[in-house]
Amino acid sequence: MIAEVAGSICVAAALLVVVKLPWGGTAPLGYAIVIALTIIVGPSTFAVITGMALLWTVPVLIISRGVGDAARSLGVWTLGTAAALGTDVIARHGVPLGSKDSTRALMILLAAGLAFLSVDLFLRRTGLLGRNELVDARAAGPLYVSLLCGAALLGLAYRQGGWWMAAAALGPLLLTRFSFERYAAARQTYRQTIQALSIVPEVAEVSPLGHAERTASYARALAVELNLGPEASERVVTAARLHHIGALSLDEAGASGPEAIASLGAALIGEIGFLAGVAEVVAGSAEAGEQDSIDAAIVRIASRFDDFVGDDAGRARDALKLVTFEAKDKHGHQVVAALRKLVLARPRLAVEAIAAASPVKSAAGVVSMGSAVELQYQS
Amino acid sequence: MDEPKKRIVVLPGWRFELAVTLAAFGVLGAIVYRGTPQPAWGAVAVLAGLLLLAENTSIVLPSAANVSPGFMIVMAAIAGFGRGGGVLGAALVELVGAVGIGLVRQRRYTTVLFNCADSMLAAAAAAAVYIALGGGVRPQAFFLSVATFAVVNVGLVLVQIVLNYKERPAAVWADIRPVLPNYLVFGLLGLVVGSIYRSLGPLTLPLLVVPGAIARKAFTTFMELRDAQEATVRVFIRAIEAKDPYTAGHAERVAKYAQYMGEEMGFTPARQEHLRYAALMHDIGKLAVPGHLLNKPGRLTPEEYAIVQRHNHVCVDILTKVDFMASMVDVASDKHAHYDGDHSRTDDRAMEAYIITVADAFDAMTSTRSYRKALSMEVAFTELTEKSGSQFHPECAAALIKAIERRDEHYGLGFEVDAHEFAVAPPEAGVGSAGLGDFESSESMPA
Repeated sequence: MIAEVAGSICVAAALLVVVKLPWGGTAPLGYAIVIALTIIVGPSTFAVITGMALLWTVPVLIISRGVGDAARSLGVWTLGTAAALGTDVIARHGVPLGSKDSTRALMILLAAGLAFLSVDLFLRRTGLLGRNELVDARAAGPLYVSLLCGAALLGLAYRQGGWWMAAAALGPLLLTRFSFERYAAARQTYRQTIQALSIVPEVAEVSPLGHAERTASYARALAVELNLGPEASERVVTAARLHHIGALSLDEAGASGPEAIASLGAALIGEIGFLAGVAEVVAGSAEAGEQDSIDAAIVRIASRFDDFVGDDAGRARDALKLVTFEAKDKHGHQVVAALRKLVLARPRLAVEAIAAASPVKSAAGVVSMGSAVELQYQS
Repeated sequence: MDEPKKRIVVLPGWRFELAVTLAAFGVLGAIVYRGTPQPAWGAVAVLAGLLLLAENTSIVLPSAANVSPGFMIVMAAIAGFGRGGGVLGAALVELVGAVGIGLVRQRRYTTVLFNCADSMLAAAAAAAVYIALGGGVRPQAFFLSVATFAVVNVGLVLVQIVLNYKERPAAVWADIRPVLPNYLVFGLLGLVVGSIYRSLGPLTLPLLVVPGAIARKAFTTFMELRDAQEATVRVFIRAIEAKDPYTAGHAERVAKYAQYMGEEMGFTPARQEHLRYAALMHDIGKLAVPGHLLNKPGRLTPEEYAIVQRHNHVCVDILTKVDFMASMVDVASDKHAHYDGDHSRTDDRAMEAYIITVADAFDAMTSTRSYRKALSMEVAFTELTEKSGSQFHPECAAALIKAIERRDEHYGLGFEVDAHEFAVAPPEAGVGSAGLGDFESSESMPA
């Protein structure tokens, strides 16, 4: 019994260690340990150990994430574990797993692991874990494949040489966590840099305050609705954030109008090799041209929609009519149709977008008051 | 331009490199001559191919010298072949797999031979130890086998580097020491995989190769993102400089001084990186200031000054939302200049703000500005020391002086790099060319 309790504490600890996904969202490293456990012990011991482990995580989860999130996480983990256990039992179909039978052990582990991870992905899809954890198979795929391979090495190593070999086999899992962590951190820093820069034209008063952030918010929702992959969504959102950046160089270029803003912005962004794709989207964001893409149409319509809605979520339906009226091209119609679905299905769409931009607005608001006082003082 | 063709490049240690090569082939000959179990040749070929791939595609991480994950493959060969040809198999895998294609292209043939010979010797010794200790999954066989490989490999490489680059052994050892734990992690993992291979066969390989490839992709993208971050920041620095040509090169220099101080104060590489970005972007607020105000010849009116400040403030407040910029708030806002004004800040990021304040002021003093020539470095140092504890954080000021003196570098009058001729008459007010960190700026601000 001591071994089971010790094992359950290890599993619980691992479930609380999360790996960050590059496009947002997290997954527990402990998934790999639970999956490995299917071939380390028999089904009944598996049920005992994972049951205890889930119990141990309850207080920590409640303290660190609150009751609601704790319940949701526990729900997903319990159902995933149950799926793994069920698959394990079916795959063994009563024949004991011999200690030399590595190939069969690997197959059982892969089946149980796939069941566990599919349940997790399905439940995420339903939004049970919240919008931040709404990760699809394309985004989670590489990490989940790594977790599965790591689990297999771990389970097989244990069967071969016991605890100490299992510990040595943790390497790939730790490497996975390390590399994804660095990747996610770099992505976040980069996203924040882009965000900081997107606000510059607004502070320079060549673009309304909060426009970039709200446009990005609509663009993200549209990208999900139109089922763009994680990479394309990221490109569209970045383009939405930066689509007005060209306004900063209008003076120097002696130009004006949305098309000049788009082409100046595209030229500026195009200097960053990594953002070549984003530059193309920005270039097409002012007007539907011959080589119009769905990406550019999303940015264009998200931006126009925000032009009409601005800070008043109540204007969303009227704004929808106006952008519908303006959309004349194929991609435009497609995007507007998606926007209509969104506006009707999610009444809080505009409210959320405005909330996303509110830090920008409040920063500006506080400071204008401050400088008014300052001016008074100076005069 | 015709370069001399087909010349072999040798470094001073080439005799040692050839001697090790001869010794290694001698050992290999002895192993074959004395008769040893032969490994499965197909598996040797596959593993050697994998090793060749791993050795020539590994990513050098910015912060650490690396032990290539290829090390795992040879350890897997040792445990996989075990008594059935472990010594010969592991030696041959290394002999073929350790060829560095980059070195072949550079025509450093003796070094290529040395690398193969060195790892071949290390692999053969590690395999012999593994087998002698009973092999299988015995912990002592695992640990001592890994240790043997590390000792042989590190010992030979250390001598080679010392001879080739005329470095002190202690310095080379200091470089190598941090990567020693990697030997343990990769080595043990390789032996685990080899043991699994014995019962599972070729199915084992994807279990290792697939996550390896995924981790590699994540790292590559991570490096791409770093480059992108760099390029993005640079584009915007150029935009700032286009708007305010008086401060050309300012951001880069402030970043350099900030890095000096960070190094002096023992910052971690990650913190240094954030500090660098923060320093490069510390003037981002200027982008939002209307150009006619930034370059206005003559003093700003109080109204104009308020506009400039307002824009700057909004930028600053927004930058607090960016993790690595959050520390910059005090630098770019009014509170920025004075260390003594705000001892209450206890968050650990405050130090970044103090560092950039000092770097910014030092660069402002030692560059020629529109309204005065650059001050000499001695004057700037005196200023830093005198205002240490009031305007400047004492530790930062001391760190900068120490770092510059240690490097024996010179800045300021007589050494300035940016004595430009400007088409527009220089402004007088404390914005624009004067920079927000110029210690003299308070005198030229509107009353």
